[in-house]
Amino acid sequence: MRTFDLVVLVAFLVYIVWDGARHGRGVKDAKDYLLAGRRMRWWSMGLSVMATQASAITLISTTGQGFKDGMRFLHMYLAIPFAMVLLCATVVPWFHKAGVFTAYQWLETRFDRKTRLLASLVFLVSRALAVGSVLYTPSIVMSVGLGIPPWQSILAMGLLCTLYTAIGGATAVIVTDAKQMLVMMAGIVACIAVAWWKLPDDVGLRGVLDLAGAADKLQTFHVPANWREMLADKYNILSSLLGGFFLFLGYFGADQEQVQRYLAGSSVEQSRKSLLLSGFAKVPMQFVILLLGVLIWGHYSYSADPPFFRAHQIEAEIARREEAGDAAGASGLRVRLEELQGTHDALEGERKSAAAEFLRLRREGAQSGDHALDVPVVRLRGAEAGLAAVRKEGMALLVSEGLEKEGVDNDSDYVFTHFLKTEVPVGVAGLVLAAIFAAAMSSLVSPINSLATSSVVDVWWLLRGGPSAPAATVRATRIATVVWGVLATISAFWMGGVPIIEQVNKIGSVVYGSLFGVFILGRLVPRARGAVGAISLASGIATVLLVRQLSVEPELQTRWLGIAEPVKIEFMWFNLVGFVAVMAVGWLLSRFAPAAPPPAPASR
Amino acid sequence: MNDAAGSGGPPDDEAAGEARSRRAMGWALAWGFITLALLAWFTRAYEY
Repeated sequence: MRTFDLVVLVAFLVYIVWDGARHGRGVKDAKDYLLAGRRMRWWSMGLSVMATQASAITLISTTGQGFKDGMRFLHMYLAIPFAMVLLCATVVPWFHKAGVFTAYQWLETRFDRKTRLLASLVFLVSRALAVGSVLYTPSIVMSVGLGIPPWQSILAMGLLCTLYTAIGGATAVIVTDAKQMLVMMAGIVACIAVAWWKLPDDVGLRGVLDLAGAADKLQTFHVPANWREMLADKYNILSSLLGGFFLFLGYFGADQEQVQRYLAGSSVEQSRKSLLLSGFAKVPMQFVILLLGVLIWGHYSYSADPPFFRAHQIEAEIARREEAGDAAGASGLRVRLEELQGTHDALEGERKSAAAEFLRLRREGAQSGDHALDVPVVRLRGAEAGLAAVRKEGMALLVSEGLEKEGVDNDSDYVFTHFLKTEVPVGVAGLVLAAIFAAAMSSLVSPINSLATSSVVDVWWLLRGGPSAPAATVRATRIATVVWGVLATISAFWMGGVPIIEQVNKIGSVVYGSLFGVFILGRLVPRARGAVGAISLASGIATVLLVRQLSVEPELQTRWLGIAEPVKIEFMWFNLVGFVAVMAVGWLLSRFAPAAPPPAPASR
Repeated sequence: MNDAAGSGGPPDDEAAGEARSRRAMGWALAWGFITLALLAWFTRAYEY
């Protein structure tokens, strides 16, 4: 890494830690520490909501998705504007009126203590499982960009974030998140500018978009052909607008990580507007980030790239073996790498030739649907499939040499870092690295802050039989912040494997639909009271786990349900399944429940 | 304009805030549909 880039990065990290920690001085009571004194303006909370969701994963893994699969991943976010409007009409005013610190406190006012405890435990477990992934991601950048082992990066990030979150509380989280989001946006714009500038003059943006379209990389609105495809395909318009809708209702409406950001608003209006900022900006932002991946793909279609983006690890292993005197081992590995490079170069030649033919025909006036374009399009897609197979072989080589775990296929997570290291000019690379760290920090401090808050308010207060004194609450939450920060750091050492962004969303999809369902059940079904909340929530999650198992092991569908042609169900649908199961079980149980007076207010 | 505190109604700024945020929600809903239309057009424009 170049010195100037390092200076930019270190200066940014020092500023963020100082800026976060200085807000610890203004903390007088629990409301100050947990909810930033409920003084926040909408734009500050809105940027924090966006920064919490947009992690380093968003920059690194999403760009890789754009490179590998094109823009289909955008389907994931299409339901956000609709989900935000529904949340503004429902939980935002409910939580404000109840004056709660956590979303789960509201459940006690409506159901009982058990429901509150179960919902908070579901949040604590699911968020704890995901938080390690968030911290693991920047270690990829560090290991490639700075040439240091990933564990050093994990340790540094974990400690810095824990430090300023523990001192400054929710104010530190929101204020630094907002600034980090602005840095992240600047980094994205800088990368787009560099990727655009690097495109060959005779191809340009228009040419690359045409080629990407021909390579089937610009599908942002995919309509499934039948119901089986609708369920089995991760990203199509129906899974997005139905499954994704409930995913985001759960994430923004029932996950304390996000709820705590907008509960800091000075009024319902401020909190609503903070959520609506994501409703307006999230889809365009993701579009731009995926487009960046497509532009990087366009750039590497015309310039030298490695056979796979983790090839540097094979080269390092060759050097290690040579140093250790294992000449035969080093030579064997070199031959296999050169074979991959040879196949890759041949396929890349074929892709360039097909691309040139395609662009020539387009310049001559051929339009979408013209049969003249069929041959170059088929050749282009064939070369693309071949290059993807080479990257898979590269990953298999890493696994066979013991450099990666079995079943791991995350080469696309290294595309962005390779581009950053080899193509982005000095100074700009420092800004982009700062943006990646901003993204990583903003999405790490929010879960640590909310895990600590829920541990104290929903678990510790219930165990001790009521709320503690303000000073004791602040002290306990600071201790819990340190504990969660350390646990997140430790769990990050075991992360890796499946493309990171999907891992995080898959964990969430098991619980989000059910969690949000129990809030709506509480409002729509007046007779659902007491333990009905906890039973419905547990039933919803159990149903999702069952459906997931049936999808993972399709033979169970035949054995248990007699389905001759088993159905695959992708994780986006789990959110809808959980929501429907909670509502159905809750409504059914409420039919048998005696009419009872509403429960006492929450123990706070 | 409501007749403010004392009569049990919400204060003016709260009612105005409610109206403003409802307008913003309406715009967000419209934006959701506009986004879908634009993306459908984008996909169609680059389909080969």
